[in-house]
Amino acid sequence: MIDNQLKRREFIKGFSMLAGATMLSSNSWLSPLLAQEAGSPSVVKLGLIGVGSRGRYLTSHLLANPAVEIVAYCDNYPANLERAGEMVGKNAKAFTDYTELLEMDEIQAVVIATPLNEHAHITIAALNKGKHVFCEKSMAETLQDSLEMVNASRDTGRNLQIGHQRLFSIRFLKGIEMIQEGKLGPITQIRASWHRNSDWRRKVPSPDLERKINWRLYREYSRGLMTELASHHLQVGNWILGEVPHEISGSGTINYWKDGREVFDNVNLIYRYPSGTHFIYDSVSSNEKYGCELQAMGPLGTLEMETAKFYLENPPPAPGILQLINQIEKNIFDVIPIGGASWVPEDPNEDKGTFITDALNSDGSDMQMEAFVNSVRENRKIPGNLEEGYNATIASLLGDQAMMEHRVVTWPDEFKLTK
Amino acid sequence: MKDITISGKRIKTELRWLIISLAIAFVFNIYSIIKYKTSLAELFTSLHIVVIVSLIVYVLLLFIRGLASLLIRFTPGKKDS
Repeated sequence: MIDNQLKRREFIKGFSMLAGATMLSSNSWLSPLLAQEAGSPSVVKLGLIGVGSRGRYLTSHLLANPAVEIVAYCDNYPANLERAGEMVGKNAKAFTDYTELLEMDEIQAVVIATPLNEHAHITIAALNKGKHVFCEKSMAETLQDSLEMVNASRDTGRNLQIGHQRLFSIRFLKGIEMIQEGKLGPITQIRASWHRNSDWRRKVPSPDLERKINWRLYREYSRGLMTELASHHLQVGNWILGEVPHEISGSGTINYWKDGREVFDNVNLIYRYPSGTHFIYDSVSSNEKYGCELQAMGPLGTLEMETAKFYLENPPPAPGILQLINQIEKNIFDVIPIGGASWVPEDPNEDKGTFITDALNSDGSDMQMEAFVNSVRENRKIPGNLEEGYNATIASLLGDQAMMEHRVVTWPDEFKLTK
Repeated sequence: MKDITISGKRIKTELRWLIISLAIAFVFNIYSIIKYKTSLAELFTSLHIVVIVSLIVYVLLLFIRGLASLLIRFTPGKKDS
């Protein structure tokens, strides 16, 4: 209880250091976190559908909240069910069929962390049963399924929250605030990458479970790097620019992990936004030197949002006396060229950068689950969140389509979300 | 062991040189502010650098003074006079 309250208080403290009202109006999904509680909050009863590694990670955040009671959980893989049972305790009911879990009237909301191909039909079934839904990103395997999920939420009036935790991360909120304040100037390019050096495989106890356990590697269940990783950065790109891309091109191959996988092990894409700004994305699975980063660039500076570092294009000059000393030193010790190349290498800017926040520990997952629980308690939708999740999903699926069909694809009008 | 005695005159002389060094460093700072068109506030905010520069100037002057006194001591004309 203390832990959770402390985290929330720290978040609100960090948040209040931002521009407050302005931030709230442009990041309306934060509103459930800022609602004042009168007395002890009432308990929210939840069901879990899909309790693999991601599902259990989300569960760990839910269990930190004393106002959450997990009354049931469901998975069709016995090992997951067993591990989740150890986490949630004996009072929660275990199911292997999600439809039975949805029949429990006392469940107010469900958290869905199944493989991607299961998201749409489970989400729609849960919304139609009157449950609020938290669904892991990406939303679905197809554009149509994603749109139907949105429509189901709108038709039923139930909250559908998509797991884009960066929306709740102080690092990203602070970065967005700086961008909106014009500290970088107009954003002229966004570059994002997610580099790993691993095969992305889980151990399989028996060969017939290969596709079930390593579902991320097979197109029947997933779109690989695009839906499992890129969608996070695409969401941030849309958030920064306040629009969605209209033209997408890219290329993907399997050039290293030729192990029977069906999804690309490296992808390279360009998303062109109506404003003329490009979002350049690449992901590789055979080199991790540059890790996971998103760089927003403008004429005044560069913001690295994953590491929360800001680099000025023209850092303030050193004190005059130091400049003079450097000049004298240079005049004495530098080699004087008497001929040779007239070309001077355009070395990278040497500004070491400054951290924009010291809240570097949380990735936002804790606060996104807190926001979900609060919205369920208040029986209301989280404004703006679903639209962010939907647009990121469509962008990732269109990126996959561009690579599969070797052509430039445009965002279809019928999949542009209306307010 | 022989005691080394620093006379009051010597201390005064060295203090004078130290003040001269400090003045040189201060002028150096003013010149750099004008040359690089930086803020006048650096007259105060860069004082720590001025102090360091003045110590370097003092050591340089000490070296030059030492050389000069050696030269004077071993100049034959001076000995003859």
